[in-house]
Amino acid sequence: MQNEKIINALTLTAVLVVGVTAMAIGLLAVQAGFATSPLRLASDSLSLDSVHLWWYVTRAAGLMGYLLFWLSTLWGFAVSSKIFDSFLERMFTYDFHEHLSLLSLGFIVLHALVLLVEKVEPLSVMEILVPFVSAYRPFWTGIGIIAFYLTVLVTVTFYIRSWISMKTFRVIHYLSVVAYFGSLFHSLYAGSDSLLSWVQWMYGGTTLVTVFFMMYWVFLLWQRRSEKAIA
Amino acid sequence: MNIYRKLLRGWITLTSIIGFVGGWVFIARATEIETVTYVGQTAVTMPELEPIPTVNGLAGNPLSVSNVQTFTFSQSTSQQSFSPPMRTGGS
Repeated sequence: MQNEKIINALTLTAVLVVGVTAMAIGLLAVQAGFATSPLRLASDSLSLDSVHLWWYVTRAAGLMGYLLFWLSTLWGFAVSSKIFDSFLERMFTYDFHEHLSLLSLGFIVLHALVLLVEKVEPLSVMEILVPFVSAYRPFWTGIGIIAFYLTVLVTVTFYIRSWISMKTFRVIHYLSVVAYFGSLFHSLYAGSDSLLSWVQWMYGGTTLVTVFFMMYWVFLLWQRRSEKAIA
Repeated sequence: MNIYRKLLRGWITLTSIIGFVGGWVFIARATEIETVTYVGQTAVTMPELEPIPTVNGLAGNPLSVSNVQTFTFSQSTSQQSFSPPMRTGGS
């Protein structure tokens, strides 16, 4: 099982590397003037000629990372609340939850790496790795970095589950709620897209759904504990 | 691994990448339209300026040509009659 997970992680990494390489070759083809009409269209749509190209990439990666992390958190609440148990195999839903976390981490890493090379708000390696030292909105950037570390910690527990107790696994997993709200506030107050109305609606909607699922999960937890206490 | 699990993983990965590219296009377009800039911590929406008419466009429209302010330069008479006050006495 452990070997299978490692193979899956390596496969995913390979797919991402191949995807990024293909994208880079495509970019080079466009810039080298081999652009045919569909390539030109793609180039214009993605603003490949723009000086802000990497700024768009990091913002899109950040938004996608947030959305996937939101979905993973939501899925985690649903798995924990046994919402899918009546019609989906538990192993299946658990696997999906884990895969969402990995994808989310991939996009967050892309978001951070591109910030190193883009020119609009360039950050150093120290500013990306150490919380609260960034020149750009240090507090909210720091919150985002802490949320990222918490997400890494929670994701790692998927792979060391057999080595730790179930209680430790659950306690560490509770941190993902803190990480989710950290990422939300980081996105809201450090993200330059927070000014766009559709992004505000997206944050509002995702927060409402999360709060609803979280309340349901807390209620079920409280109910189970009450039943145990009575028994 | 179950084939359905593989398919599900493939599907969610593909959807995420499509979502990422879609978001990239959307952000690039939205940024061009809204043209938001920052002054310190405050966001300022830049006003949209009307396009400046081309010289050719003005020349083609006689009404526009009449509105064009002509720039003339006339040398003032005081400058023409200017004579430096310093003179050498000569030897």
